[in-house]
Amino acid sequence: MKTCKEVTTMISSDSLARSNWRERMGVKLHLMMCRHCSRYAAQLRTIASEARHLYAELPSVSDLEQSILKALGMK
Amino acid sequence: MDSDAAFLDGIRSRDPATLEAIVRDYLPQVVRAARAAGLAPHEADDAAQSTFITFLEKAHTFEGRSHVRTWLFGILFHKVMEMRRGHVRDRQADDIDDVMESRFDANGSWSKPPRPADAQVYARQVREGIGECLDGTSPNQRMAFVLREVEGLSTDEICKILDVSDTNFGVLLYRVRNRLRECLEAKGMRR
Repeated sequence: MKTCKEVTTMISSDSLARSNWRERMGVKLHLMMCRHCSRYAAQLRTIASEARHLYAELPSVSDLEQSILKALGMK
Repeated sequence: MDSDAAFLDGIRSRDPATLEAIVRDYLPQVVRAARAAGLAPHEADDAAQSTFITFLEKAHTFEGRSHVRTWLFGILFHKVMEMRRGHVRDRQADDIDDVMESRFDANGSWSKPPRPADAQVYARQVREGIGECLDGTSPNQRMAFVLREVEGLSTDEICKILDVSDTNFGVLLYRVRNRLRECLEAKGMRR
């Protein structure tokens, strides 16, 4: 049985992706039974999606593009 | 000549049309990543411009072993690190490691579990506080987080960009995500 400390470390370091199905299953089971760890996992997901949201828009760069092309000697 | 080879040749020979297309295709993403990495808008523009200048200077050495984007982001990463040199770099030991240690008991169970919050309330708190909390992370941790969560790149590509091992990237992610979570939780408690 995995401990909370191990599970949170695996989740936050993305090491789940590199582990075998047995380990992944262990984490899944732990999350189903442990409300603290499942809250922790949900919070990390929210943090990621809000960060994505914050920078979702690509900046408009037409002036910069012209100045870069000029600097590169293209214009 | 197939199109990949033509593209590679275009880069190496500094063919204007090829280079112009690269600037057009990648500039918005490079500027966004520079801003997300913590540079002010005008600094991000400067970083992007010097990224493409360096890219052109080194164009003749491009061997097509990595994707153009990987190469550009790798150059950008160095520019960002230079521009944010004043900030603390990720050290061997980071105090977030101690903070995390203090959250668990000797058996590895939570002694200080995450603070409960309604999902919607939590999302709002994160939205309001994430900018400031990101500013409290070190440049390389922040870049790791941005490449993963904002740009959505694969582990392989990010490791090439940051020039770190899988394991080191895992440590960067662990530290930056836990630092952000702790920062946001502390903000939530002050309300």
